[in-house]
Amino acid sequence: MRDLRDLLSETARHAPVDVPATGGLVGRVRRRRAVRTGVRSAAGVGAVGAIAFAAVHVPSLQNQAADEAGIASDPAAEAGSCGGRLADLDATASTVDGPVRVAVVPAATSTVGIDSSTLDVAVVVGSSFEDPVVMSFGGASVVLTDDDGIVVATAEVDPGALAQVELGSQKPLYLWSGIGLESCSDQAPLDGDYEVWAVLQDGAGQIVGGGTPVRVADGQVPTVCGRDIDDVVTGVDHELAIEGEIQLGTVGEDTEFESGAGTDTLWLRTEVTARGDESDAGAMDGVRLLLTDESGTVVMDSATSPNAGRSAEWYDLPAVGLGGQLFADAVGCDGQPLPEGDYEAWALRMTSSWDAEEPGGRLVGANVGGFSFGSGSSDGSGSGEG
Amino acid sequence: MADWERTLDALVRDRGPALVRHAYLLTGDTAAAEDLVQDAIVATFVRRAQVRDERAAEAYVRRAILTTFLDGHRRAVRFRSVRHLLLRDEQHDGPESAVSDRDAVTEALRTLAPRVRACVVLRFYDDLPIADVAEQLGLSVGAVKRYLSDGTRALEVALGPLRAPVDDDLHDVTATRGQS
Repeated sequence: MRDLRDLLSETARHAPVDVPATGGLVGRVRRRRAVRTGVRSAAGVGAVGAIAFAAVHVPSLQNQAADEAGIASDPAAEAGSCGGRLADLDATASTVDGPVRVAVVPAATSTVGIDSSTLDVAVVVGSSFEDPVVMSFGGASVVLTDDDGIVVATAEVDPGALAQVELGSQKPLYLWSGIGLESCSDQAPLDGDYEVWAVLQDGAGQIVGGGTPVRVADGQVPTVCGRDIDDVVTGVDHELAIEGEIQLGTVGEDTEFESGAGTDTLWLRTEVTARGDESDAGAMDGVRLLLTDESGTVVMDSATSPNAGRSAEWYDLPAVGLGGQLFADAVGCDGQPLPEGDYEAWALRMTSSWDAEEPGGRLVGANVGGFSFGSGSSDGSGSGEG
Repeated sequence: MADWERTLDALVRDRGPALVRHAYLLTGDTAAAEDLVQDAIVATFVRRAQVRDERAAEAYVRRAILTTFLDGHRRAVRFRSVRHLLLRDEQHDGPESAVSDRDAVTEALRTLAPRVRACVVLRFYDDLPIADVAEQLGLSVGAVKRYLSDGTRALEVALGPLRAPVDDDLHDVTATRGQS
Protein backbone atom coordinates (compact mmCIF):
# COMPACT_ATOMS: atom_id res chain seq x y z
CA MET A 1 0.00 0.00 0.00
CA ARG A 2 1.52 3.32 -1.02
CA ASP A 3 1.51 6.41 1.13
CA LEU A 4 -0.45 9.30 -0.33
CA ARG A 5 1.80 11.83 1.37
CA ASP A 6 4.88 10.32 -0.22
CA LEU A 7 3.25 10.26 -3.63
CA LEU A 8 2.27 13.91 -3.44
CA SER A 9 5.67 14.99 -2.12
CA GLU A 10 7.47 13.10 -4.85
CA THR A 11 5.22 14.55 -7.53
CA ALA A 12 5.68 18.09 -6.30
CA ARG A 13 9.42 17.68 -5.83
CA HIS A 14 9.91 16.77 -9.46
CA ALA A 15 7.60 19.43 -10.89
CA PRO A 16 9.57 21.49 -13.42
CA VAL A 17 9.66 24.89 -11.74
CA ASP A 18 12.10 27.74 -11.35
CA VAL A 19 12.37 30.96 -9.40
CA PRO A 20 9.71 33.48 -10.51
CA ALA A 21 10.82 36.78 -12.00
CA THR A 22 10.54 39.48 -9.35
CA GLY A 23 10.82 42.58 -11.51
CA GLY A 24 7.73 41.78 -13.50
CA LEU A 25 5.73 41.10 -10.37
CA VAL A 26 6.70 44.41 -8.80
CA GLY A 27 5.62 46.21 -11.97
CA ARG A 28 2.27 44.46 -11.98
CA VAL A 29 1.65 45.34 -8.34
CA ARG A 30 2.43 48.99 -8.98
CA ARG A 31 0.17 49.18 -12.02
CA ARG A 32 -2.70 47.37 -10.33
CA ARG A 33 -2.50 49.62 -7.30
CA ALA A 34 -2.67 52.71 -9.48
CA VAL A 35 -5.47 51.50 -11.76
CA ARG A 36 -7.67 50.04 -9.03
CA THR A 37 -7.27 53.00 -6.71
CA GLY A 38 -8.67 55.09 -9.49
CA VAL A 39 -8.84 58.47 -7.78
CA ARG A 40 -6.52 60.94 -6.19
CA SER A 41 -6.06 60.17 -2.53
CA ALA A 42 -5.59 62.88 0.02
CA ALA A 43 -1.87 62.16 -0.25
CA GLY A 44 -1.54 64.73 -3.00
CA VAL A 45 0.20 65.25 -6.31
CA GLY A 46 2.54 62.29 -6.07
CA ALA A 47 -0.35 59.85 -6.17
CA VAL A 48 -1.91 61.66 -9.11
CA GLY A 49 1.38 61.45 -10.97
CA ALA A 50 1.59 57.71 -10.39
CA ILE A 51 -1.94 57.16 -11.69
CA ALA A 52 -1.27 59.26 -14.79
CA PHE A 53 1.87 57.25 -15.45
CA ALA A 54 -0.06 54.00 -15.31
CA ALA A 55 -2.80 55.37 -17.57
CA VAL A 56 -0.33 56.41 -20.26
CA HIS A 57 1.74 53.27 -20.25
CA VAL A 58 -1.02 50.69 -20.25
CA PRO A 59 -3.28 51.84 -23.09
CA SER A 60 -4.14 48.35 -24.37
CA LEU A 61 -5.54 47.34 -21.02
CA GLN A 62 -7.60 50.52 -20.74
CA ASN A 63 -9.66 49.69 -23.80
CA GLN A 64 -9.82 45.93 -23.68
CA ALA A 65 -12.60 45.25 -21.19
CA ALA A 66 -14.55 48.35 -22.18
CA ASP A 67 -14.72 47.20 -25.80
CA GLU A 68 -15.94 43.77 -24.74
CA ALA A 69 -18.91 45.43 -23.01
CA GLY A 70 -19.66 47.58 -26.04
CA ILE A 71 -18.53 50.68 -24.16
CA ALA A 72 -15.71 52.48 -25.92
CA SER A 73 -13.24 54.30 -23.79
CA ASP A 74 -13.72 57.91 -24.83
CA PRO A 75 -10.87 60.31 -24.09
CA ALA A 76 -13.30 63.18 -24.59
CA ALA A 77 -15.81 61.80 -22.09
CA GLU A 78 -16.35 63.69 -18.89
CA ALA A 79 -14.51 62.14 -15.99
CA GLY A 80 -16.71 59.72 -14.10
CA SER A 81 -19.33 59.60 -16.85
CA CYS A 82 -20.02 56.98 -19.52
CA GLY A 83 -16.83 56.07 -21.35
CA GLY A 84 -14.72 58.19 -19.03
CA ARG A 85 -12.34 57.02 -16.38
CA LEU A 86 -13.29 57.22 -12.76
CA ALA A 87 -9.61 57.90 -12.07
CA ASP A 88 -9.90 61.25 -13.84
CA LEU A 89 -12.57 62.50 -11.48
CA ASP A 90 -11.56 65.38 -9.25
CA ALA A 91 -12.44 63.58 -6.06
CA THR A 92 -11.00 62.41 -2.79
CA ALA A 93 -10.92 58.74 -1.96
CA SER A 94 -12.92 57.77 1.08
CA THR A 95 -10.77 56.58 3.97
CA VAL A 96 -11.41 54.67 7.17
CA ASP A 97 -10.68 57.70 9.34
CA GLY A 98 -11.79 60.56 7.14
CA PRO A 99 -14.45 63.04 8.26
CA VAL A 100 -16.93 61.72 5.68
CA ARG A 101 -16.73 58.08 4.64
CA VAL A 102 -18.50 56.37 1.78
CA ALA A 103 -19.05 52.75 0.94
CA VAL A 104 -21.46 50.99 -1.39
CA VAL A 105 -22.84 47.50 -1.30
CA PRO A 106 -25.16 45.69 -3.66
CA ALA A 107 -28.48 45.15 -1.92
CA ALA A 108 -28.22 41.41 -2.35
CA THR A 109 -31.63 40.65 -1.00
CA SER A 110 -33.39 42.56 -3.71
CA THR A 111 -31.15 42.48 -6.77
CA VAL A 112 -33.08 39.68 -8.40
CA GLY A 113 -36.45 39.77 -6.74
CA ILE A 114 -37.46 43.20 -7.94
CA ASP A 115 -35.88 43.64 -11.35
CA SER A 116 -32.85 41.66 -12.36
CA SER A 117 -31.87 44.15 -15.05
CA THR A 118 -31.29 46.75 -12.36
CA LEU A 119 -28.55 46.52 -9.79
CA ASP A 120 -29.86 47.77 -6.47
CA VAL A 121 -27.23 49.26 -4.24
CA ALA A 122 -27.02 50.86 -0.85
CA VAL A 123 -24.74 53.87 -0.53
CA VAL A 124 -23.68 54.10 3.08
CA VAL A 125 -22.23 57.35 4.35
CA GLY A 126 -20.66 57.53 7.77
CA SER A 127 -18.32 59.44 9.96
CA SER A 128 -16.47 59.17 13.24
CA PHE A 129 -18.37 58.03 16.30
CA GLU A 130 -16.26 60.26 18.47
CA ASP A 131 -16.45 63.32 16.20
CA PRO A 132 -19.64 63.19 14.16
CA VAL A 133 -19.91 65.75 11.39
CA VAL A 134 -22.72 67.68 9.79
CA MET A 135 -22.44 67.20 6.05
CA SER A 136 -23.85 69.53 3.44
CA PHE A 137 -25.34 67.04 1.09
CA GLY A 138 -24.99 68.09 -2.54
CA GLY A 139 -25.96 64.90 -4.30
CA ALA A 140 -24.68 61.48 -5.08
CA SER A 141 -24.38 59.06 -7.94
CA VAL A 142 -23.37 55.47 -8.39
CA VAL A 143 -21.23 54.21 -11.23
CA LEU A 144 -20.22 50.82 -12.51
CA THR A 145 -16.67 50.47 -13.84
CA ASP A 146 -14.89 47.73 -15.67
CA ASP A 147 -11.53 46.32 -14.75
CA ASP A 148 -9.75 49.30 -16.26
CA GLY A 149 -11.72 51.94 -14.47
CA ILE A 150 -13.93 52.88 -17.43
CA VAL A 151 -17.48 53.87 -16.47
CA VAL A 152 -19.99 51.52 -18.10
CA ALA A 153 -23.16 52.43 -16.19
CA THR A 154 -24.30 55.30 -14.00
CA ALA A 155 -27.31 56.34 -11.96
CA GLU A 156 -28.17 59.24 -9.73
CA VAL A 157 -29.01 58.67 -6.09
CA ASP A 158 -32.19 60.35 -5.00
CA PRO A 159 -31.41 62.08 -1.70
CA GLY A 160 -34.98 62.97 -1.00
CA ALA A 161 -35.22 66.17 0.98
CA LEU A 162 -31.71 65.98 2.37
CA ALA A 163 -29.70 69.16 2.48
CA GLN A 164 -27.71 68.70 5.62
CA VAL A 165 -27.24 65.50 7.51
CA GLU A 166 -25.48 64.69 10.74
CA LEU A 167 -23.26 61.69 10.31
CA GLY A 168 -21.79 59.42 12.91
CA SER A 169 -20.24 56.02 12.67
CA GLN A 170 -23.11 54.53 14.59
CA LYS A 171 -25.78 56.32 12.61
CA PRO A 172 -24.65 56.31 9.01
CA LEU A 173 -26.81 57.54 6.20
CA TYR A 174 -28.28 54.86 3.94
CA LEU A 175 -29.19 55.83 0.39
CA TRP A 176 -30.70 53.41 -2.08
CA SER A 177 -30.36 53.48 -5.82
CA GLY A 178 -30.70 51.24 -8.83
CA ILE A 179 -28.32 51.15 -11.80
CA GLY A 180 -29.74 50.03 -15.11
CA LEU A 181 -27.35 47.48 -16.49
CA GLU A 182 -27.23 48.97 -19.95
CA SER A 183 -27.41 52.66 -19.22
CA CYS A 184 -24.20 53.59 -21.05
CA SER A 185 -24.64 51.49 -24.13
CA ASP A 186 -27.33 50.88 -26.70
CA GLN A 187 -25.37 47.93 -28.04
CA ALA A 188 -24.49 44.81 -26.13
CA PRO A 189 -25.72 44.53 -22.55
CA LEU A 190 -23.14 44.44 -19.81
CA ASP A 191 -21.60 41.07 -19.16
CA GLY A 192 -18.72 40.35 -16.83
CA ASP A 193 -17.18 41.43 -13.58
CA TYR A 194 -17.38 45.06 -12.56
CA GLU A 195 -17.03 47.34 -9.58
CA VAL A 196 -19.68 49.64 -8.18
CA TRP A 197 -18.66 53.00 -6.75
CA ALA A 198 -20.48 55.87 -5.12
CA VAL A 199 -19.57 59.49 -5.80
CA LEU A 200 -20.79 61.77 -3.05
CA GLN A 201 -20.85 65.54 -3.17
CA ASP A 202 -20.58 67.44 0.01
CA GLY A 203 -19.77 71.07 0.57
CA ALA A 204 -16.04 70.46 0.38
CA GLY A 205 -15.94 68.52 -2.86
CA GLN A 206 -16.45 65.02 -4.15
CA ILE A 207 -15.73 61.80 -2.29
CA VAL A 208 -15.50 58.42 -3.94
CA GLY A 209 -16.00 55.15 -2.12
CA GLY A 210 -16.85 51.53 -2.74
CA GLY A 211 -15.20 49.53 -5.47
CA THR A 212 -17.37 46.56 -4.52
CA PRO A 213 -17.28 43.75 -7.06
CA VAL A 214 -20.46 42.77 -8.84
CA ARG A 215 -21.11 40.22 -11.52
CA VAL A 216 -23.44 40.87 -14.43
CA ALA A 217 -24.55 38.22 -16.91
CA ASP A 218 -25.94 39.43 -20.21
CA GLY A 219 -27.42 42.57 -18.72
CA GLN A 220 -28.95 40.84 -15.71
CA VAL A 221 -27.98 40.38 -12.11
CA PRO A 222 -27.60 36.63 -12.09
CA THR A 223 -29.13 34.38 -9.54
CA VAL A 224 -26.94 31.58 -8.29
CA CYS A 225 -29.72 29.03 -8.59
CA GLY A 226 -28.57 25.86 -10.28
CA ARG A 227 -24.90 26.56 -9.76
CA ASP A 228 -22.48 24.41 -7.84
CA ILE A 229 -21.83 25.83 -4.41
CA ASP A 230 -18.11 25.46 -4.99
CA ASP A 231 -18.33 28.10 -7.73
CA VAL A 232 -20.39 30.44 -5.59
CA VAL A 233 -18.46 30.46 -2.35
CA THR A 234 -14.98 30.52 -3.78
CA GLY A 235 -13.15 33.77 -3.22
CA VAL A 236 -14.42 34.11 0.36
CA ASP A 237 -12.18 36.13 2.60
CA HIS A 238 -11.00 33.83 5.34
CA GLU A 239 -9.72 36.63 7.48
CA LEU A 240 -13.31 37.25 8.44
CA ALA A 241 -14.99 34.46 10.32
CA ILE A 242 -18.69 33.84 9.97
CA GLU A 243 -20.77 31.63 12.17
CA GLY A 244 -24.42 31.05 12.01
CA GLU A 245 -27.46 29.05 12.83
CA ILE A 246 -30.29 27.87 10.61
CA GLN A 247 -33.71 26.91 11.89
CA LEU A 248 -36.91 25.78 10.24
CA GLY A 249 -40.25 26.84 11.62
CA THR A 250 -43.07 29.26 11.10
CA VAL A 251 -44.05 32.78 11.99
CA GLY A 252 -47.02 32.64 14.34
CA GLU A 253 -49.94 34.96 14.66
CA ASP A 254 -47.98 37.04 17.11
CA THR A 255 -45.38 37.51 14.35
CA GLU A 256 -42.84 35.64 16.42
CA PHE A 257 -40.79 32.90 14.81
CA GLU A 258 -41.48 29.49 16.28
CA SER A 259 -38.78 26.96 15.56
CA GLY A 260 -40.04 23.52 14.70
CA ALA A 261 -43.67 24.58 14.72
CA GLY A 262 -43.90 24.52 10.95
CA THR A 263 -41.87 24.20 7.79
CA ASP A 264 -42.64 27.28 5.80
CA THR A 265 -40.04 29.68 7.12
CA LEU A 266 -36.30 29.54 7.41
CA TRP A 267 -34.55 31.64 10.01
CA LEU A 268 -30.85 32.33 9.65
CA ARG A 269 -28.74 34.10 12.20
CA THR A 270 -25.15 35.03 11.43
CA GLU A 271 -22.32 36.80 13.12
CA VAL A 272 -19.15 37.98 11.45
CA THR A 273 -16.02 38.57 13.43
CA ALA A 274 -12.42 39.24 12.58
CA ARG A 275 -9.75 36.59 12.83
CA GLY A 276 -6.52 37.52 14.52
CA ASP A 277 -5.70 41.20 14.41
CA GLU A 278 -7.68 41.93 11.29
CA SER A 279 -9.32 45.34 11.38
CA ASP A 280 -11.55 47.17 8.95
CA ALA A 281 -14.61 49.38 8.92
CA GLY A 282 -17.27 50.08 6.36
CA ALA A 283 -20.60 48.72 5.16
CA MET A 284 -21.99 45.30 4.52
CA ASP A 285 -25.00 44.06 2.61
CA GLY A 286 -27.77 42.05 4.18
CA VAL A 287 -27.57 38.37 4.95
CA ARG A 288 -28.10 36.12 1.97
CA LEU A 289 -29.12 32.50 2.44
CA LEU A 290 -28.44 29.71 -0.01
CA LEU A 291 -29.54 26.10 0.29
CA THR A 292 -27.87 23.27 -1.54
CA ASP A 293 -29.11 19.76 -2.14
CA GLU A 294 -27.11 16.60 -1.72
CA SER A 295 -25.24 17.19 -4.97
CA GLY A 296 -24.04 20.61 -3.85
CA THR A 297 -26.32 22.44 -6.28
CA VAL A 298 -27.94 25.68 -5.14
CA VAL A 299 -31.67 25.06 -4.93
CA MET A 300 -32.72 28.08 -2.90
CA ASP A 301 -31.45 31.67 -2.98
CA SER A 302 -33.05 34.16 -0.63
CA ALA A 303 -32.21 36.97 -3.07
CA THR A 304 -34.81 35.66 -5.51
CA SER A 305 -37.68 35.95 -3.10
CA PRO A 306 -40.21 38.65 -4.01
CA ASN A 307 -40.62 39.19 -0.30
CA ALA A 308 -36.94 39.85 0.27
CA GLY A 309 -36.23 43.23 1.74
CA ARG A 310 -33.31 45.53 1.27
CA SER A 311 -30.85 45.84 4.06
CA ALA A 312 -27.36 47.06 4.75
CA GLU A 313 -25.41 47.89 7.85
CA TRP A 314 -22.11 49.26 9.01
CA TYR A 315 -19.31 47.50 10.81
CA ASP A 316 -16.10 48.36 12.62
CA LEU A 317 -14.00 45.28 13.19
CA PRO A 318 -12.77 43.97 15.50
CA ALA A 319 -14.72 46.16 17.92
CA VAL A 320 -18.13 45.93 16.33
CA GLY A 321 -19.04 42.67 14.68
CA LEU A 322 -21.67 42.09 12.09
CA GLY A 323 -24.69 40.32 13.40
CA GLY A 324 -27.58 39.72 11.10
CA GLN A 325 -30.64 37.60 10.68
CA LEU A 326 -32.89 36.68 7.85
CA PHE A 327 -36.34 35.19 7.57
CA ALA A 328 -36.95 33.51 4.25
CA ASP A 329 -39.73 31.45 2.78
CA ALA A 330 -38.88 27.76 2.58
CA VAL A 331 -39.32 27.95 -1.16
CA GLY A 332 -36.91 26.75 -3.78
CA CYS A 333 -35.54 28.48 -6.83
CA ASP A 334 -38.53 27.24 -8.80
CA GLY A 335 -40.93 29.09 -6.53
CA GLN A 336 -42.30 25.86 -5.09
CA PRO A 337 -42.08 24.66 -1.48
CA LEU A 338 -38.87 22.79 -0.82
CA PRO A 339 -39.19 19.07 -1.54
CA GLU A 340 -38.27 16.46 1.05
CA GLY A 341 -34.59 15.93 1.42
CA ASP A 342 -31.39 16.93 3.11
CA TYR A 343 -30.11 20.45 2.68
CA GLU A 344 -27.04 22.43 3.60
CA ALA A 345 -27.35 26.10 4.44
CA TRP A 346 -24.82 28.72 3.39
CA ALA A 347 -24.63 32.33 4.53
CA LEU A 348 -23.08 35.00 2.33
CA ARG A 349 -22.36 38.65 2.93
CA MET A 350 -20.34 41.22 0.99
CA THR A 351 -18.40 44.03 2.65
CA SER A 352 -17.32 47.40 1.35
CA SER A 353 -14.62 49.17 3.29
CA TRP A 354 -14.71 52.91 3.94
CA ASP A 355 -11.19 52.76 2.46
CA ALA A 356 -11.63 53.28 -1.28
CA GLU A 357 -8.04 52.25 -1.86
CA GLU A 358 -8.75 48.81 -0.45
CA PRO A 359 -9.42 47.04 -3.71
CA GLY A 360 -12.77 45.39 -4.05
CA GLY A 361 -15.18 44.13 -1.49
CA ARG A 362 -14.74 41.10 0.68
CA LEU A 363 -17.01 38.12 0.34
CA VAL A 364 -17.76 36.44 3.62
CA GLY A 365 -19.42 33.08 3.43
CA ALA A 366 -19.59 29.68 4.98
CA ASN A 367 -21.62 26.59 5.52
CA VAL A 368 -23.72 27.22 8.61
CA GLY A 369 -25.21 23.78 8.99
CA GLY A 370 -27.85 21.59 7.47
CA PHE A 371 -31.21 20.07 8.07
CA SER A 372 -33.52 17.38 6.85
CA PHE A 373 -36.77 18.57 5.39
CA GLY A 374 -39.75 16.39 5.05
CA SER A 375 -42.44 14.44 6.87
CA GLY A 376 -41.61 12.37 9.92
CA SER A 377 -37.91 12.78 10.21
CA SER A 378 -37.65 16.56 10.11
CA ASP A 379 -34.64 17.88 11.91
CA GLY A 380 -35.11 21.56 11.51
CA SER A 381 -32.01 23.04 12.97
CA GLY A 382 -28.30 23.19 12.47
CA SER A 383 -25.39 25.44 13.11
CA GLY A 384 -21.91 25.80 11.85
CA GLU A 385 -19.10 28.17 11.29
CA GLY A 386 -16.49 28.93 8.81
CA MET B 1 13.16 50.09 -2.87
CA ALA B 2 10.01 50.17 -0.79
CA ASP B 3 9.58 47.78 2.14
CA TRP B 4 6.92 45.83 0.35
CA GLU B 5 9.22 45.39 -2.63
CA ARG B 6 11.93 43.97 -0.38
CA THR B 7 9.42 41.59 1.16
CA LEU B 8 8.18 40.51 -2.24
CA ASP B 9 11.69 39.96 -3.48
CA ALA B 10 12.62 37.84 -0.44
CA LEU B 11 9.41 35.85 -0.68
CA VAL B 12 9.95 35.02 -4.32
CA ARG B 13 13.59 34.18 -3.84
CA ASP B 14 13.17 32.03 -0.74
CA ARG B 15 9.74 30.51 -1.16
CA GLY B 16 8.91 30.89 -4.84
CA PRO B 17 9.72 27.32 -5.89
CA ALA B 18 7.84 25.83 -2.94
CA LEU B 19 4.78 27.93 -3.75
CA VAL B 20 4.84 26.85 -7.37
CA ARG B 21 5.17 23.18 -6.39
CA HIS B 22 2.15 23.56 -4.12
CA ALA B 23 0.24 25.23 -6.94
CA TYR B 24 1.34 22.49 -9.33
CA LEU B 25 -0.45 19.89 -7.26
CA LEU B 26 -3.58 21.99 -7.42
CA THR B 27 -3.49 22.72 -11.13
CA GLY B 28 -1.63 19.74 -12.56
CA ASP B 29 0.02 22.05 -15.05
CA THR B 30 3.31 23.91 -14.79
CA ALA B 31 2.27 27.03 -16.66
CA ALA B 32 -1.02 27.23 -14.80
CA ALA B 33 0.81 26.82 -11.50
CA GLU B 34 3.22 29.62 -12.34
CA ASP B 35 0.34 31.91 -13.35
CA LEU B 36 -1.55 31.02 -10.19
CA VAL B 37 1.38 31.89 -7.96
CA GLN B 38 2.10 35.11 -9.83
CA ASP B 39 -1.56 36.16 -9.61
CA ALA B 40 -1.64 35.32 -5.91
CA ILE B 41 1.51 37.30 -5.17
CA VAL B 42 0.20 40.29 -7.11
CA ALA B 43 -3.19 40.09 -5.43
CA THR B 44 -1.57 39.90 -1.99
CA PHE B 45 0.69 42.89 -2.46
CA VAL B 46 -1.92 44.99 -4.24
CA ARG B 47 -4.39 44.40 -1.44
CA ARG B 48 -2.00 45.00 1.41
CA ALA B 49 -0.14 48.25 1.53
CA GLN B 50 2.06 46.96 4.34
CA VAL B 51 3.03 43.33 4.55
CA ARG B 52 4.83 42.68 7.81
CA ASP B 53 7.40 40.17 6.79
CA GLU B 54 8.15 37.28 4.50
CA ARG B 55 6.42 34.75 6.71
CA ALA B 56 3.23 36.80 6.86
CA ALA B 57 3.45 37.39 3.12
CA GLU B 58 3.71 33.67 2.42
CA ALA B 59 0.63 32.99 4.58
CA TYR B 60 -1.35 35.59 2.64
CA VAL B 61 -0.06 34.31 -0.70
CA ARG B 62 -0.93 30.69 0.15
CA ARG B 63 -4.47 31.76 0.96
CA ALA B 64 -4.62 33.77 -2.23
CA ILE B 65 -3.40 30.74 -4.19
CA LEU B 66 -6.25 28.70 -2.77
CA THR B 67 -8.94 31.27 -3.33
CA THR B 68 -7.66 32.16 -6.79
CA PHE B 69 -7.52 28.48 -7.75
CA LEU B 70 -11.02 27.82 -6.47
CA ASP B 71 -12.28 31.03 -8.02
CA GLY B 72 -10.45 30.63 -11.33
CA HIS B 73 -13.36 31.59 -13.49
CA ARG B 74 -13.36 35.12 -12.14
CA ARG B 75 -9.91 35.92 -13.46
CA ALA B 76 -10.87 37.82 -16.60
CA VAL B 77 -7.68 39.68 -17.48
CA ARG B 78 -4.23 38.16 -17.69
CA PHE B 79 -1.22 40.37 -17.68
CA ARG B 80 0.96 38.76 -20.27
CA SER B 81 3.54 41.51 -20.18
CA VAL B 82 5.20 39.72 -17.30
CA ARG B 83 8.17 37.59 -18.24
CA HIS B 84 7.24 34.00 -17.78
CA LEU B 85 9.04 31.78 -15.37
CA LEU B 86 12.09 30.05 -16.65
CA LEU B 87 11.35 26.42 -17.19
CA ARG B 88 13.65 23.50 -16.96
CA ASP B 89 13.09 20.62 -19.28
CA GLU B 90 11.01 17.78 -17.94
CA GLN B 91 13.15 15.85 -15.51
CA HIS B 92 13.56 12.14 -15.87
CA ASP B 93 16.13 11.50 -13.21
CA GLY B 94 14.47 8.42 -11.84
CA PRO B 95 13.28 5.11 -13.10
CA GLU B 96 10.53 5.12 -15.72
CA SER B 97 8.13 3.73 -13.16
CA ALA B 98 8.73 6.71 -10.88
CA VAL B 99 7.97 9.11 -13.74
CA SER B 100 4.79 7.30 -14.65
CA ASP B 101 3.82 7.30 -10.96
CA ARG B 102 4.13 11.07 -10.85
CA ASP B 103 2.17 11.43 -14.06
CA ALA B 104 -0.47 9.13 -12.66
CA VAL B 105 -0.69 11.17 -9.48
CA THR B 106 -1.01 14.39 -11.45
CA GLU B 107 -3.70 12.94 -13.66
CA ALA B 108 -5.54 11.43 -10.70
CA LEU B 109 -5.56 14.76 -8.89
CA ARG B 110 -7.05 16.39 -11.96
CA THR B 111 -10.07 14.11 -11.72
CA LEU B 112 -10.96 15.58 -8.34
CA ALA B 113 -13.30 18.55 -8.02
CA PRO B 114 -11.37 21.73 -7.14
CA ARG B 115 -12.46 21.85 -3.55
CA VAL B 116 -11.79 18.14 -3.01
CA ARG B 117 -8.39 18.55 -4.62
CA ALA B 118 -7.62 21.50 -2.37
CA CYS B 119 -8.55 19.47 0.72
CA VAL B 120 -6.30 16.61 -0.35
CA VAL B 121 -3.33 18.88 -1.07
CA LEU B 122 -3.67 20.85 2.16
CA ARG B 123 -4.07 17.69 4.24
CA PHE B 124 -1.62 15.29 2.67
CA TYR B 125 0.97 17.60 1.11
CA ASP B 126 0.94 20.61 3.40
CA ASP B 127 0.24 18.36 6.40
CA LEU B 128 -2.34 20.70 7.87
CA PRO B 129 -4.63 19.41 10.62
CA ILE B 130 -8.19 18.96 9.49
CA ALA B 131 -9.33 21.94 11.54
CA ASP B 132 -6.81 24.15 9.73
CA VAL B 133 -7.90 22.83 6.36
CA ALA B 134 -11.47 23.72 7.30
CA GLU B 135 -10.44 27.22 8.29
CA GLN B 136 -8.44 27.79 5.10
CA LEU B 137 -11.35 26.76 2.91
CA GLY B 138 -14.22 28.15 4.93
CA LEU B 139 -15.70 24.74 5.54
CA SER B 140 -16.86 22.80 8.53
CA VAL B 141 -14.60 20.04 9.83
CA GLY B 142 -17.25 17.52 8.90
CA ALA B 143 -17.30 18.77 5.32
CA VAL B 144 -13.52 18.51 5.10
CA LYS B 145 -13.58 14.94 6.35
CA ARG B 146 -16.21 14.11 3.79
CA TYR B 147 -14.19 15.68 0.97
CA LEU B 148 -11.04 13.88 2.08
CA SER B 149 -12.86 10.59 2.20
CA ASP B 150 -14.31 11.14 -1.27
CA GLY B 151 -10.98 12.32 -2.62
CA THR B 152 -8.99 9.44 -1.22
CA ARG B 153 -11.42 6.89 -2.62
CA ALA B 154 -11.30 8.56 -6.03
CA LEU B 155 -7.50 8.58 -6.02
CA GLU B 156 -7.44 4.92 -5.11
CA VAL B 157 -9.41 4.12 -8.25
CA ALA B 158 -6.48 5.46 -10.29
CA LEU B 159 -3.55 4.73 -8.01
CA GLY B 160 -4.51 1.61 -6.13
CA PRO B 161 -4.78 1.21 -2.36
CA LEU B 162 -3.39 4.18 -0.49
CA ARG B 163 -2.33 4.79 3.03
CA ALA B 164 -3.93 8.08 4.09
CA PRO B 165 -2.30 8.46 7.47
CA VAL B 166 -2.96 10.10 10.79
CA ASP B 167 -6.71 10.46 10.78
CA ASP B 168 -7.81 6.98 11.73
CA ASP B 169 -11.50 7.62 11.26
CA LEU B 170 -11.10 9.09 7.79
CA HIS B 171 -12.73 6.17 6.02
CA ASP B 172 -15.48 5.75 8.58
CA VAL B 173 -16.98 9.19 8.09
CA THR B 174 -20.65 9.31 7.24
CA ALA B 175 -22.32 12.39 5.85
CA THR B 176 -23.40 13.78 9.18
CA ARG B 177 -24.92 17.12 8.47
CA GLY B 178 -24.64 20.28 10.45
CA GLN B 179 -21.82 19.08 12.61
CA SER B 180 -18.31 20.46 12.63
